[in-house]
Amino acid sequence: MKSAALKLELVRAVTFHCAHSYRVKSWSDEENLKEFGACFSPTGHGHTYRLEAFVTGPVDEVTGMMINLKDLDKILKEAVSLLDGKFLDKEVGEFLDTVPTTEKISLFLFQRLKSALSQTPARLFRLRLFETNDLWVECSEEI
Amino acid sequence: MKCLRTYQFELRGIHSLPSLKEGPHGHHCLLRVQVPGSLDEEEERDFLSFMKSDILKNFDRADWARALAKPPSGENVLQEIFRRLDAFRQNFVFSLELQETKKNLFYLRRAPKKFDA
Repeated sequence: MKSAALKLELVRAVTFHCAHSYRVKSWSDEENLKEFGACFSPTGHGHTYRLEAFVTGPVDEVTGMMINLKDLDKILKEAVSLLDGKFLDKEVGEFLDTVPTTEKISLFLFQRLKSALSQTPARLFRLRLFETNDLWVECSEEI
Repeated sequence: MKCLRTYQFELRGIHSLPSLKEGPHGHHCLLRVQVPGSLDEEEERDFLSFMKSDILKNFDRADWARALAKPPSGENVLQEIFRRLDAFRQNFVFSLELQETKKNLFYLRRAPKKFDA
């Protein structure tokens, strides 16, 4: 097989739940309502997010794996535990002054997962974050 | 613009990964094969015939270890299926996807030469 022309990818998914509301603190309520509509609400609303992490790397000759799924699951669980069960813009420092959109949450998770996986043979190169079945963000980095 | 066609097959395989101290267990996987969209009827017939006589014969309702010289991980199963398809017809398959579980899947796709999986 011409391995140099092939890219093997492993995708692992995990779900987590959190609440958020959209609000730019320096804006008036009218401005926030105009921009964010129903997402601007003091009570907030919740989502069950599905995170898909795409990793690549060499396949170990003995185990046959790029990364042990137990290790990958542990890293994924640790990353989402920073958000799981939280009201993002009230409890998570990163989002106290940042609107917790799916875009921002995906970038937050990408940086943490990339850093954690750098200690393993696998490398994160893409992440998909589904807020709902018909809305998701994909961020990727060519490696 | 590249036009591709995707075929989906079911692979009900058994494997055991000694490195994980896992005994024999099964997966009901989905295998998606992406090929050129310009496939004509005869080429499609040959392709499906090969899938049945080789890939499905060796990987569906089968012990994956018997078809592999390496540990029967999802990574190695996918690479072996790609090797067989490439031997059947070189540069025919654009990408393979093996969905082992709802939260676990593997991709193998042609990529620029800088990738070396």
